[in-house]
Amino acid sequence: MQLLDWIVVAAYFGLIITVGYWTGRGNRGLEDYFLARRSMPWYAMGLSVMATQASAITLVGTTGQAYVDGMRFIQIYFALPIAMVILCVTLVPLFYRARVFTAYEYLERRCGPHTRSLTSLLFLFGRALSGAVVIYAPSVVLSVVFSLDETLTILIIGGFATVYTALGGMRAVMWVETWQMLIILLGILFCLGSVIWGLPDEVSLGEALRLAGSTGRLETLSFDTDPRQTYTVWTGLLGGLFLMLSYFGCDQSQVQRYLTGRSLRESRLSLIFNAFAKLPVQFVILLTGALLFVFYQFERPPVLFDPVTLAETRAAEPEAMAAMEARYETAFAERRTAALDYAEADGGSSEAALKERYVAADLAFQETRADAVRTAAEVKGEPWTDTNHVFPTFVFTQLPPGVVGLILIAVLAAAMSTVESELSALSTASVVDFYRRFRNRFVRGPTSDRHDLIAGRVGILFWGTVATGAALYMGRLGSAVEAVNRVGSFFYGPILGAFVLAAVFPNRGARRAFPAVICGVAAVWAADLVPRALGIEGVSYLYYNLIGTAVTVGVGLFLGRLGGDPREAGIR
Amino acid sequence: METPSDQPPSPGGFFRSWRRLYAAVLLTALSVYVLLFAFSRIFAP
Repeated sequence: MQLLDWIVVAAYFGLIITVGYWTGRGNRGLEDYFLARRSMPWYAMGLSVMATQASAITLVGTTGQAYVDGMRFIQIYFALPIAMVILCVTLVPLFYRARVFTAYEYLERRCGPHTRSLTSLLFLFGRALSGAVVIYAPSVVLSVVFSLDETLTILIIGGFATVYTALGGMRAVMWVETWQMLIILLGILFCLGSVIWGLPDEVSLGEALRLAGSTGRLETLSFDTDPRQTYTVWTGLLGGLFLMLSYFGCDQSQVQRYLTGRSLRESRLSLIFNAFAKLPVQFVILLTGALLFVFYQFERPPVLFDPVTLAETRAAEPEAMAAMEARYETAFAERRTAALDYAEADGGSSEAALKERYVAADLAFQETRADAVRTAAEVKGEPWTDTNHVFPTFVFTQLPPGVVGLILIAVLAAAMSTVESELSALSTASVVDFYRRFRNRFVRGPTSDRHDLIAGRVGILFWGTVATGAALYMGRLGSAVEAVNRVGSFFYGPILGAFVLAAVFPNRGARRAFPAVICGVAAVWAADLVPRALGIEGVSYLYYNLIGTAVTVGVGLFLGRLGGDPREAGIR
Repeated sequence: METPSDQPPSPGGFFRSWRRLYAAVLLTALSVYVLLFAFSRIFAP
């Protein structure tokens, strides 16, 4: 990091403080504070929706994944445009006309107050600790790369996002996120440009793509029908559709973005913007990772991309690592020569043989690296990969001053935009779905806008403190937090099921949504637990939302047919 | 579900109705799938 990079970082913090302060003035009530007085234009909502979904790991981890495994990951997003159209036709108009603050508030009208409380509680439970993960994960990478104290990095990301989200409210958050997403997009384009620029003169872009393709890095489509596979066209279209419908339609952190629209037209256009933009953006991120793989055919990559772990492993296993690194050096030189020969092949009869030689050399190189990763994992005593360190290593060793700062603020922006959205959604759900409904039991006398505003701010400070605090102890709580996060992902499908019952079967299944959601959660849990208990591989996690939704709707309709008094569910 | 009278103003611009816009989204998605297939086959035979 040089002076120019620090100037870029300082300019970024200056920009978000200015935008946050300027746009966040004059909050008078909860509609101002949580929904930006329903005044946002489509492009700000669209970029904000995208920023919320793009965490730092999207930027750092996805490029690393394409480097290691290729571009198959893009299939997860195949159903996103379809989900956006379905939501624009169904849930968005319903939410907009109901003038709700939270998605779960809408459920009360069709399914009763208990279902509202249950779904909101599931959201809070599922999301509470994911805030810790979205602070902790990028902090670890940034602290390693910068040689900064991990605690300091966590406090900067968590603390800064909490304070200005609490002060500025939703309007400030969304305008800041708009700028953050523009920075992220600029950062992505700079990364792609830098990787292409960094290729040797004798290797054109077309030849680079041929090299990446011959090792399977550009394999984007798999038509495998095995439901246990995650990265296939069918899992992406079917499982991914329900994941996207659940995430964009029922998760408060997303719903809250498009509830701020100044009209239904603007809210719809914000989702349509994502339908058009998401796949190309994801493609560019993955292509950057695949080309990074080609870049490191000609520039020797470190045997392990994480310098701290590399030093630890060398210290613990000096002889084994020295032998391994000598083999690695030879394998790299052989692969480099084979790659150059194959890149320069002019389509003659020798091309097939050159390709075969290159693929074999790459395989030998990857095996040496896999040995090093395995040794590092054994030294650490836990499963470990350095996928998340590939991209930062390239940025900090290859890019010029200024560009390093730009990429860094893109990663920071991606991390902070996700944290801001989670905090405002958690606070909205806890204040609107619980505090405002039950406060009369605790607070005497009429309440005012000012009182609501204070409650909203306290909510954000509370959840920000919980998330930052849990992130600080993540090293010790790691597996517990991961377990809670894993369980949290079980709730998406059943919550979507409750919305299907409410919107499509208001007179049949909706009144039985409460027990149906519980059955849905149990079904997803079983789908995850039973195969593991039996020691077999279950269906891909992308199908969990489909299972949860189907069971919830099925049980709701079945119980609805049995009849009963809707007032039992508290429906007026 | 919305009724025809609930329809909000059209999306504006080239798309004079929401149906046309939704059709454009789905056709674009289909084109992207086809382009990705072609990309895979050209560079990853």
